[in-house]
Amino acid sequence: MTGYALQLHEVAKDFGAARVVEDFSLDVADGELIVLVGPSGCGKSTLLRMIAGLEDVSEGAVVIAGQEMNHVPPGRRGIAMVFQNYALYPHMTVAQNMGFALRNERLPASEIERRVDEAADKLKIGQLLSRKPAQLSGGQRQRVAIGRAIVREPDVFLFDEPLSNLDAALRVQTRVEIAKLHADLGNTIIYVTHDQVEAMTLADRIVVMNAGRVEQIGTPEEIYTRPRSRFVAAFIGTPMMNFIDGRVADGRFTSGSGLAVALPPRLSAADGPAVLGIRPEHLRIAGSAAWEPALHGRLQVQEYLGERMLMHVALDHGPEVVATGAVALPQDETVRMTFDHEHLHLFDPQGRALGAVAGTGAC
Amino acid sequence: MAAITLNPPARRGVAVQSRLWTLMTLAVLAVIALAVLFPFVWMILTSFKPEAQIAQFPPRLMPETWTLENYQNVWSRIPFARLLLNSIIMAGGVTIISLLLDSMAAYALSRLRFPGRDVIFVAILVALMLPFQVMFIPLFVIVHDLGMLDSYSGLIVPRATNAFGIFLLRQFFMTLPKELDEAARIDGASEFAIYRKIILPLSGPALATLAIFHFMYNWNDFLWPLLITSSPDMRTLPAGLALFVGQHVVEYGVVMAGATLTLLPLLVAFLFAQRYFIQGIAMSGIKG
Repeated sequence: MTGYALQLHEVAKDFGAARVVEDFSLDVADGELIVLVGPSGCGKSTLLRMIAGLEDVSEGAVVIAGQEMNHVPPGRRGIAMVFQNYALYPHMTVAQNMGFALRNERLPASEIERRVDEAADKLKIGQLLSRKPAQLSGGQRQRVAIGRAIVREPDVFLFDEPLSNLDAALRVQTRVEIAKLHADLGNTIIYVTHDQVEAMTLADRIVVMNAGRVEQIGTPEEIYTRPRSRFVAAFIGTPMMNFIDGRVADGRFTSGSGLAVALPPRLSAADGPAVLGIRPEHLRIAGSAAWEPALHGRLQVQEYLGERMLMHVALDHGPEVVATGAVALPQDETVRMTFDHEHLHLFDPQGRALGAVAGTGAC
Repeated sequence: MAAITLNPPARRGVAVQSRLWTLMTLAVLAVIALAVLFPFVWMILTSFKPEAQIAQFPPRLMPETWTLENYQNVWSRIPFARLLLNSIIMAGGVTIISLLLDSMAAYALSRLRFPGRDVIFVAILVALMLPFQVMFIPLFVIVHDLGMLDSYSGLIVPRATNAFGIFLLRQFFMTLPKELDEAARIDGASEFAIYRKIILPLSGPALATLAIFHFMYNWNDFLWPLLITSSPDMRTLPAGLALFVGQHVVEYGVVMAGATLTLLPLLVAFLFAQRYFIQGIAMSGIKG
């Protein structure tokens, strides 16, 4: 044993001439929950399917529990997968669905029954065992699909956007249940989603992907507070981080239209064209008495969210930004926004983060 | 809303129009149904007429005197029970074997990725367009060379798979979600297990439809059994009834009685399977 449940070594995938996954490497520790997140078409599902063995690997190696699996059929890889549309066998009962893999392994009937009952107990679907999938609700089908994966006791669980067919309330509930299940069973899980909330809440580590490449691998906190690229900064966080184009010279960021911000020491070494990033929650509407630095603009729209308000402000010298406010203000009011230096992000024109970005965890 | 309450005559007009339309549709359908049914009615009634009344002019629909003579003749002059058995063996054998092979080929063509797959499928579509009349002479020669003339294998083997069946099932299999195979593959199912335990059980209506097509076609087939069999004991019902059609004389009464008897098992089978049949045609998007 290597101590790793799953290792991917420079894995790549070509579909014809198009390279959809490029040079992907990742070591997943036993019991870790890794979330692959990215916009649709970024290669995250293809990567999952390569781990499962449903797609061939064009280059590199997939290693599960210390064994290279490139040419091992899916059924012998020690993995189980939960599909987006559940993929339950419509002609089988819930119990038959859950026991199908075990029957293929030719386990004795008593053992199959014991494991199915155990999993059904854990997922509270014992009363559904004799039903067919068509007689189940979406949430119940989801549980059966998870149950079908659990009974196999695999080395690695693969989840392919398992919550995207559920309604909002059920999605939150099921998400929490998956987290509990993970805490309970301690399985290694690779979880694919395009939903950043799922990624942030479930993951031990997040892998942000874009156009077949890894943008960043790190804990949710690292990804959120120290994004290594403009793409990651924009993709994680709602509402999106504000970006202001400009240039850096002599420790000051200036935008073409006259905006000027003094940069903290860790960012002041930069020079030349750059993009300044500030998250909406770090940009606060302030009274006139507040201290520097500040941005000024005119209030366009305000959105009441209960615990806070989102203020859409057109900067005097630049684009529209989103800031956080505590009280409602009159439309078109000129507002002043303050921010902390430590929450400023700076990116070069290619989208790479500038300045002292702390270690983001080895890939 | 207001327009409707203010203008009831217009609504009544629409209702009358739609009822009229329904009546017209029914009338047209009734005419078509009668046209389709008439030959069968004629056949059945003719089978109860004495020979003299069959050829009389002007023709009459109803027999003047009813007789069972034709039915007795069918039983006594040809080995009817043997022909019935042959028909069952041929139509049943072809149906079972062809369903098996058609579905396997359709599985490969819809589920597996291999080089040349699409070329093979196009070749099958081309075979679908070839009329039997083009093929039967080379087919006869092959069957002769294989020494299968006048045998069950000669009747069944050339029909053991069928382009139409492969096409129909492939189209149906394509509608089954691919995730089901993938889930089964991850669950450790072999290729054959996916075919046998996932795809086939989900294809009931399509298989039932095809079974009826195959059974009907082979039960009614006349030319091939007539060509391939020479001894009266190997004939199927339609080919056997040809024994009553002489060069100069056709014994219509006996032929009609035989045809009526031939039709009965099919009618019963169809009544039982009608539900699947219609469902299968609707699902595979193919209209008879």
